[in-house]
Amino acid sequence: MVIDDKLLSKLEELSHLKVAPEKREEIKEELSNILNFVENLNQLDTDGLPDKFSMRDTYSHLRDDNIEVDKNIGKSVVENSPKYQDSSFVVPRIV
Amino acid sequence: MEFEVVIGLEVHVQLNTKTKLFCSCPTSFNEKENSNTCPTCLALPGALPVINREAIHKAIQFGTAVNASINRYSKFDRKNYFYPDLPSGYQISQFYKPIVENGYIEVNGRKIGIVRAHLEADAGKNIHESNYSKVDLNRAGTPLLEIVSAPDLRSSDEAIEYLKKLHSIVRYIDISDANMQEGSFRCDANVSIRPKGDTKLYTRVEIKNINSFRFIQRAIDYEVERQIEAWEDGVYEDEVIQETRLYDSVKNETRSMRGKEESADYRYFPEPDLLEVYIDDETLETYSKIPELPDEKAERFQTELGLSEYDAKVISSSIELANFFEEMINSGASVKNSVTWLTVELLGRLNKNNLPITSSPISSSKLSDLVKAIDNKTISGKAGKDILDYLMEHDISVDEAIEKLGLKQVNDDSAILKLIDEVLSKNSDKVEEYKQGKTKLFGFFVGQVMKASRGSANPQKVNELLRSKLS
Ligand SMILES: [Zn+2]
Repeated sequence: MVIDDKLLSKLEELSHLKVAPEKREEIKEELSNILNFVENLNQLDTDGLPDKFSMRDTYSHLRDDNIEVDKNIGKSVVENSPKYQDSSFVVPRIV
Repeated sequence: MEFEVVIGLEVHVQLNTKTKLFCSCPTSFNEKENSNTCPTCLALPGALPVINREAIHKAIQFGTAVNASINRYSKFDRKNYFYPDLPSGYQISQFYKPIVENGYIEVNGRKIGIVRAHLEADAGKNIHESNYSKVDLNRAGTPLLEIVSAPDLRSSDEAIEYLKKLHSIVRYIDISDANMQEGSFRCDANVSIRPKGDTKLYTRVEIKNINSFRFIQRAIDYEVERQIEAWEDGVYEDEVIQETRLYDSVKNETRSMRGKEESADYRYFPEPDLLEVYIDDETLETYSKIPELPDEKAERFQTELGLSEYDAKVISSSIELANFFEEMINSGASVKNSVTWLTVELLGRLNKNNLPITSSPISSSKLSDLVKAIDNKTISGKAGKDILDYLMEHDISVDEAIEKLGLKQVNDDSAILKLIDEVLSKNSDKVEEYKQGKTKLFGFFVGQVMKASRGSANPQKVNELLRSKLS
């Protein structure tokens, strides 16, 4: 699969990232290579496999509904954030 | 041209589990910002989600209550988008294989389809200040059940009936507090119109941001009107496009969010941090057990207690009201008086004060005491109303209120006769007129005796005794 300018612009929009003009060609090629690598998977014939087919023969473990919380975690994460006020994270105004 | 309205509703119900969907943080709110958080719900690198068994349990209970199939295998997926209240940059939801599918509920005799109900994690909260926003992630990761109806609803009235039924079921099986104001029961509406008789679905508009039954009704009515007008003016294609609109309750209108949503592309893919969920036979059997549902209770009230269809429906409409009523009956109050004193007298007074039954200053046992006092004629019905008024304001027992207001009904013949004698001797001229044929005066004598008893005499007895005395 080839990444063209249009698709790269769409990816920029979705990822909220800006690719510098002089980097565009390089990035387009790298992303194309990644996709081509993953294309290998299409060589496998998966027709007829059930939806729930998985490489692992187990299911999600379910946890009991018991509270366990360390109140210091949130506090220290907030205090390590770029900007905070009291115990809230502060971000640029959204609306 | 005549139009048909087509409505589908998406309801997000916050499940009342003790902990979040993928971590052991408590779901309680109104606590210090970001204090109920951990590496998982803060989306720190390396932290992994582990599914809360109780959320699966509640989802299965819901599926059972709405006659749905429970998928033995279900999966979680990532829905990708950026917003500050979503620290991971994706919401874990069930897109491809929800836990509940193909159910229905009955609304006024019509079956309304429930296409699916799936589990997902709620986002945190943004608090907007003048030139910045604050982010609190205490709510991030709280389990939600998103319940999606089929486009089977044909009017805003029917949509509200459906929502009330859904709300009632959710409360009956106790999977959510379902409080609209606090956001634990949230609704988005998909609205379209079509010429009557047409079977295809036209462009649907999604309305978000509605937090009361009344506003949902108004928002739908506004949107239907807008679409019909566009059709009639020949601008339907231009004005009605598939989009999300926000309801503004102050201006009572829906407004386009055009532009904001244009980049919405959620790129769903299977959640790599979780395996499939598998429900085995034993779990399914245990988790499918649910208590009596509203319709079943209404049916039982009619067959066992002889309630009218209307009363049974009113009382069973909410679990709190139904419990209140059953507590009254169980403590010995008569069925007939309990119905009236609960649905007419108490609810009337609560509505006037904008109080829900859960905040009633009068408990079920107190109202039961009052009804029993009326049942055994200790007080008259009229005195009951005065006592109820008094009890709304004062926290004392029914007996104390009867005593305090001096409203104990006088049933004792001799006491009533004594009052009658007094009244008749004071009004001997009127007695003479009565005896000469002015029988209309009977009402006057009854009134005087009742007045002399300060309303406490049993009016039936007064009538009887007075009649024999004057004959
Ligand atoms: Zn957590």
